[in-house]
Amino acid sequence: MKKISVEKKGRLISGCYLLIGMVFILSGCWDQIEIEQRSFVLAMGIDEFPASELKPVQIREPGLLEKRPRQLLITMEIPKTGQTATGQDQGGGSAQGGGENEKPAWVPSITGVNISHAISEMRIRSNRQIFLGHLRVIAVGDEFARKEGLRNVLDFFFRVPEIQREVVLFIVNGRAQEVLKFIPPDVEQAAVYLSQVSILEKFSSRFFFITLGDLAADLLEDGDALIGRVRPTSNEAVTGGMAVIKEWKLAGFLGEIETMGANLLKNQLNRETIIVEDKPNHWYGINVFGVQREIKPIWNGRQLRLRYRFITEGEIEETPGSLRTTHSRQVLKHLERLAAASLKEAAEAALAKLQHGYRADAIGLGDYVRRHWPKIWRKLGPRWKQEFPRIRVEIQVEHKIRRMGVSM
Amino acid sequence: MQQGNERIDNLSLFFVVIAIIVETGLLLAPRILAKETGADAWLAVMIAFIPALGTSFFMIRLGQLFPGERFPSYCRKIAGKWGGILICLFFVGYWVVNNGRILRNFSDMIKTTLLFQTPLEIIMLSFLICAAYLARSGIKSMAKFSVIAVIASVPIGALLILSTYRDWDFGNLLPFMEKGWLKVAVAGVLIIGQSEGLESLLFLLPVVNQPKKSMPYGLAAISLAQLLLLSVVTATLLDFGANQATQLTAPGLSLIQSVELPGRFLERLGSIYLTVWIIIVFPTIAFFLYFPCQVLADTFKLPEHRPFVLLLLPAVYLIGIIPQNLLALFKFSELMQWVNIGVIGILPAALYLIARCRGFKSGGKTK
Repeated sequence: MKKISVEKKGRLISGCYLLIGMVFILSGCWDQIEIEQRSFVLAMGIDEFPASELKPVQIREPGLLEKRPRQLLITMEIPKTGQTATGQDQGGGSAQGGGENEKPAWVPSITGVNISHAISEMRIRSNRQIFLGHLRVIAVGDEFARKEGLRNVLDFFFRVPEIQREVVLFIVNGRAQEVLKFIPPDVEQAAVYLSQVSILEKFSSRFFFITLGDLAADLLEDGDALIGRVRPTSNEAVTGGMAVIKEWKLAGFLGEIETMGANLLKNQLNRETIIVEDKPNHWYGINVFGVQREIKPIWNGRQLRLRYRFITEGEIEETPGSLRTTHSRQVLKHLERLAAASLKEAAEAALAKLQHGYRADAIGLGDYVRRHWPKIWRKLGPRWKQEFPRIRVEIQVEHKIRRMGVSM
Repeated sequence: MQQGNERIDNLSLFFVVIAIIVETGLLLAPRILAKETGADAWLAVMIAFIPALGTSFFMIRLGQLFPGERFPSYCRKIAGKWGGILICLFFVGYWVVNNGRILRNFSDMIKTTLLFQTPLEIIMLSFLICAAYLARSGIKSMAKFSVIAVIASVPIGALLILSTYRDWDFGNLLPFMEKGWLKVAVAGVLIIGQSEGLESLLFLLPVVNQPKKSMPYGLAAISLAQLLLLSVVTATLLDFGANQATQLTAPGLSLIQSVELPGRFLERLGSIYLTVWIIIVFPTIAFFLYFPCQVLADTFKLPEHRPFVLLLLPAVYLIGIIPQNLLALFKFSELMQWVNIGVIGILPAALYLIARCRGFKSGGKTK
C-alpha cells in the first residue's frame, strides 16, 4: 500500500477541518430574518387608556401582570407591504382598530403598563417580528402627555438601539390613535405624511418639527421643550402649532402665529408669509426670511433684562389692487413697519404665554444665558425656574423688503 | 524566512500604529470626556496631543538607542536581568487584559447594534480566532492587513463624521472653560490612559528597516490618530451637546448612526459603517495578541512566537467574558485607565531617562 507523505496528511487534515468549519459558516446567519417575516412599524401612537374601559383580568397565571393601575394604549401603523407594492386592496388583516379597510396599513391598538409590555403583547398577536428600525413618527395624545408626561415613555425610544434618532415626535391635539388611522390624500401611510412635512420647515414657520435626538438634548437640559402639534380633523391632519413641555409634561399649546413668534425667538424662522393690512380690507402678503438675531443682556447684579434685536429680510408676494402700489418708497417703508410690528407681536405673544402662562423656558433661554454669559448664569442658574417669568425682555424687529417679485 | 527576522518599512509603521490605536475607544471617548470636562472636551483632546507626542518621542528615541534590538533584550540592559523580565511580564499581562477588554467592548457594541441574536461568546470567539490566525502569520502580514484596514476604514469614518455638519451647533461648545482650565488640562493628560496602542512603538521599532528615520512616521501616525479622536469628540459635541453625550453609551456610534443620505435611499448607515469598523478593530486585537507572544518568545529565547498565540487565546477570552454587564465593563475600563497611564505615559520616559543616565548612547553602547 502506498504511503501518504506527512505534508499530504497535513493537507488532508486541514481539509477535513475546513469542511467541518463550513457546516457552521454556511448554515446561515444567527440574526437572519427575512424581510417578509417582519412587521415594519412606521408610526407609534401613545394614548392614555381610560380607566373606565379597564376590564378585569380574564386569564390568571403565575407571574402575569394583574395589578394595572394605569394603562397605555399603544397604536402602531404597520404597512401591508404586499398591498403597498401592488396597489391592491387585499382587505381584512385587521384584528382591532377597524375602519381602515381602505388603508394599505394595519393599525392595531394594544394596551400595556409601558411600551415594552404593549409590544410584548403585540408580539403574540402577530405572525411577524415587530421591527422598529423603520419607525418614523411617534405621536403622543395630549391627555397622556398632560397627565403622565413624556419621561417614562421616551426612555424606551432613547434606549432601544434599532430606533433612529431621526424619528419625529408630535403631540396630538386629541388622540394619537386618530392621527394614525388618518388616510392622507397623496401617500398611503400617516407616518409617511407626517415625516414628510419636515420639508415645510423651508416654507412655513407656523409649524414645528423636532426629532427624537434634538428633543433628547432639550429635555435632558431642564425638562422643558417644544414639540410639533398635530390637530386631527375628520379628513385632515393639520401640523401647525406647538406643544409646550414643562418638566416633561404637556403644559399647553402655542397657536400657529405664536409658533411663528417662538421660532423667531429660537432663531429658527426660515421662511414665513405674513399677511398685513395697511387700511381696512387692504391686505398684503409679505415673505419673511433671512433672520439675524442679536441678544444683549442688561444685568444689574440682581435682575436680568434681555434685548432681542431681529433684522429680517423679505419680499412682497401679493398686494391689493394695482401693481403700481410698490413703486412708492413710502409704501415700502410703511409695509416694512407693518411686517416688523406683526413679527414683534407674534414673538411677544409667544414669550408672554411661555413666561406668564406656562412659566416654562421651552425656548431654551436659560441654556443661552448659561452658554454665553456664564457669570450671570452662576447667579441665576440655581433659581432659573423662578427667575424665567421675571426676566424682562425687550424685542425690536427691523424688516427690510428687498424684492417685489417679477412685477413692479 | 524566519518570522523572527521579518522587517517592515517606515510607511508600514505609520499604518500599523494608526490601526492599533484606532479601536472602539474612539467611539466611547466623547462620553468619558464630556463627563469630565463638559463642553470643553475638545480642548482636552487638543491638550492630549502634547503627552501623546511626548511619550511617542521617548519610545522612538529608546528604539533608536538600541537599533535592531528587541524590547526584552534592551530592557534587560536598562533595568537589569530580573527587572527586565519583570517589566516584560508586566507588559504581557497588560496586553492580555487590555485585549480582553477591547474585545468585550467591541463585541458588546456589535451585539447591541448589529447582531442582536448572536450569542456574545460566539462573536468574541470568532473575532479572537480570526485575530489569532492573523497574529500567527507574523508582523509582515499584519502590517499588510493594517494598511488595508486603515485605507478602508479611516477615510470612510472621517467622511461620515464630517457629513453630520448639517446638525452642528457651535453654541454646544459654550461656555468656554466652564469647569476651569486645570480640570481640562488634567483631563487632557489623562486621555493618555485611553490611548492603548501608543506603546506599540516600543515593540515595532526593532522590526523597522530604518529605525533612524522612524521619528516623523511615528509622530505623524500618533498625530493622525489623535486628530481622528479630536474630530469624533468635537463632532459629537457639536451634534449632541455635552449633556446628551454623557447619556449615550457610545456617542461616536450614535453620531455615525445619525448620518442620513439625501433622499433617504439608504437608511441605517450606521450598521454599514459598523461592518467597515470591524476591519479596523481586527489589527488592534491581533497586535495585542502578537506583542505578548513575541515578548514571551524573546524573553524565553524561543525562535517562534506562534505557540504562545494559542496559549494566550483562552486568557484573553476569559478576561473579556468576566464583566457581568456594561457597568462592570466600564468600571473595569476605568481601572485599566490608571494602569495604562503608567505603561504608556510613565514607563517609556522612565526607561529612556535611566538608559541615558546609565550612559547608553545610540547603538546601545555605553560611554
